[in-house]
Amino acid sequence: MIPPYSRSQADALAICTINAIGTSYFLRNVPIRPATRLFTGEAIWCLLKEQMPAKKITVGRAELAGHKTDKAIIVVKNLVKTYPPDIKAVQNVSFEVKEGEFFGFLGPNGAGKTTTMNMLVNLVKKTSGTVTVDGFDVSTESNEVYKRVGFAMQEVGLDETATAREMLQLHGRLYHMSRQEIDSQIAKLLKLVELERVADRYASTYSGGMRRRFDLALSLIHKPKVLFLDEPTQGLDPHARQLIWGHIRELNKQGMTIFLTTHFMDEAEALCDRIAIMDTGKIVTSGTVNELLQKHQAKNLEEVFLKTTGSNLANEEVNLKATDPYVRAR
Amino acid sequence: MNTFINDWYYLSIRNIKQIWRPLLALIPSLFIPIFFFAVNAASLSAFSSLPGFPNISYKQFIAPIAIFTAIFFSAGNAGIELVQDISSGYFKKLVIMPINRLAIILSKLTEVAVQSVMQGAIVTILLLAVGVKFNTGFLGLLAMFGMLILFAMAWSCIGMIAALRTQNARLVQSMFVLVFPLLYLTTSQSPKELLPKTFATIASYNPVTYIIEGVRALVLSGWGDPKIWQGYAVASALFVVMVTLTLMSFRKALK
Repeated sequence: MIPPYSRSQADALAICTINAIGTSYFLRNVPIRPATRLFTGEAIWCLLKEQMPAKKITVGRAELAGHKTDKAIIVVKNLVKTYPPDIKAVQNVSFEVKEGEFFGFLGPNGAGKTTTMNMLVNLVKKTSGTVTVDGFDVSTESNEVYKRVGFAMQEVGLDETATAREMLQLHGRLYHMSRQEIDSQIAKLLKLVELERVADRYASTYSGGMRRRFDLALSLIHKPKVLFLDEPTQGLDPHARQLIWGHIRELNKQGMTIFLTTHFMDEAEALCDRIAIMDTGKIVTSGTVNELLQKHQAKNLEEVFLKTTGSNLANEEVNLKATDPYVRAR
Repeated sequence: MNTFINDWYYLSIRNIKQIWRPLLALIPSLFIPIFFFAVNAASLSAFSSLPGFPNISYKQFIAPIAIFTAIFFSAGNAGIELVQDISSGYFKKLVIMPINRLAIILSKLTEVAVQSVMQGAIVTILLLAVGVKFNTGFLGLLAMFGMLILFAMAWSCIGMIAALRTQNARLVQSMFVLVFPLLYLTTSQSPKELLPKTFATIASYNPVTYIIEGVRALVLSGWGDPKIWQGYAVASALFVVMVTLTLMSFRKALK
């Protein structure tokens, strides 16, 4: 039976106990060096630890725990983005995301996913159409929207001259949270993304995986209702991807609505309740994974993707031109 | 605390920390003015014996330029830091927070002001140590820093505008070269009366001349010199115009 200790206490206690027992009894007659005995103790502890459930860390709003409703928390109607002279990056896009839903937004490079996502948080001004998040219009009530959304972007934007803790504290302050609230949320978030040990190191020293995990923590400091994730596992190795998947799955279980864009079909298939596929600035199909497989008579999501998107590199070029600051400045 | 003040305060703290992270980055903007002061004061000291030169040593004449140059050089960092934030994506994070966007710009200007005071104070102490005298005393020093801070903030806006409009680090860094024509096409090295006619005309159209003359008046003359209020007027006008243009670029950057 597992004693009611915290994980770290139990860890230390078990290592000591197992090593003591190992040294004094089980391995007493075995002609091995003390270091080997220690290793044996650690190995046994690792096996035990895997069996022990980690304490659940709630970083979202407690009132939302396990919350899934039919209420549409993101409502997008006839959204259009045109860059001069006449580059149609997003064309008349409409969709809804329900509260507590894990929504996947897929599409080839240059399809307009990131532009659409940026318009959902008013980072890019829409040409026409309406977007509301939790009932607030992103154009006219953007501050209310910002209080409710977290955004982990494709480019992990960190302040390289600050430590993780400093950045989390600053962001907490900028969301106008109290000092106690910030400290408690920082402790939970660092634990969630397993960065407690490096919290006081400069962000410039972090590996790619650590940066992604920290970026996720940063986007959660203010307990957002909706989390936007733009290619959150891009460039990560399979272990780091699994770790991020675990974190965002847990957040969704806690009632957070997740809006994910990704290129990885397995990621979308494993995580999302519902998926929309975008190509050349339009949504070409949407539904649950099963609905999409049936509708397009496909074996897997990748097949659905290939059948519905006939995009080519020229579209990517169109979007590149549209977002190029030199072109935009003209 | 009012939310605007809160945002300005915490963003300023973040920016001010960047001044000495890394500490080595402070050295060039301190070294260059001290180097030019030492070299010019030694090699051009004979200038002071020319007819028409004020009745002071050349070292005393160019002392205000050393303080001005220290501030001029350091103010360019705001644009570089901003373009770094933009290219890393950190700027976007700030933009999608429920904070007043003016606070983002003002916090950068606060950083410039703090850095100006720090670097200007170090150079001032060194100048005092080598025997430079400030005729208007401690109050004059405060007035001089006030004028220089206004100008430094206005100058830093040029880098920030370039950062917001182009988002290109190389271009923002290259704005640094503007320092030289703006500084040398003035009365920084010689009184206007001793400049060739063409240079004297250019200097009279260069706003930096009025700041230099204002600072010089505070160091060498007294409170009655009209160049002091002229310097303040030009610095204030530049500040208002440049901050307005920066805010306009900020809005444009988000379209």
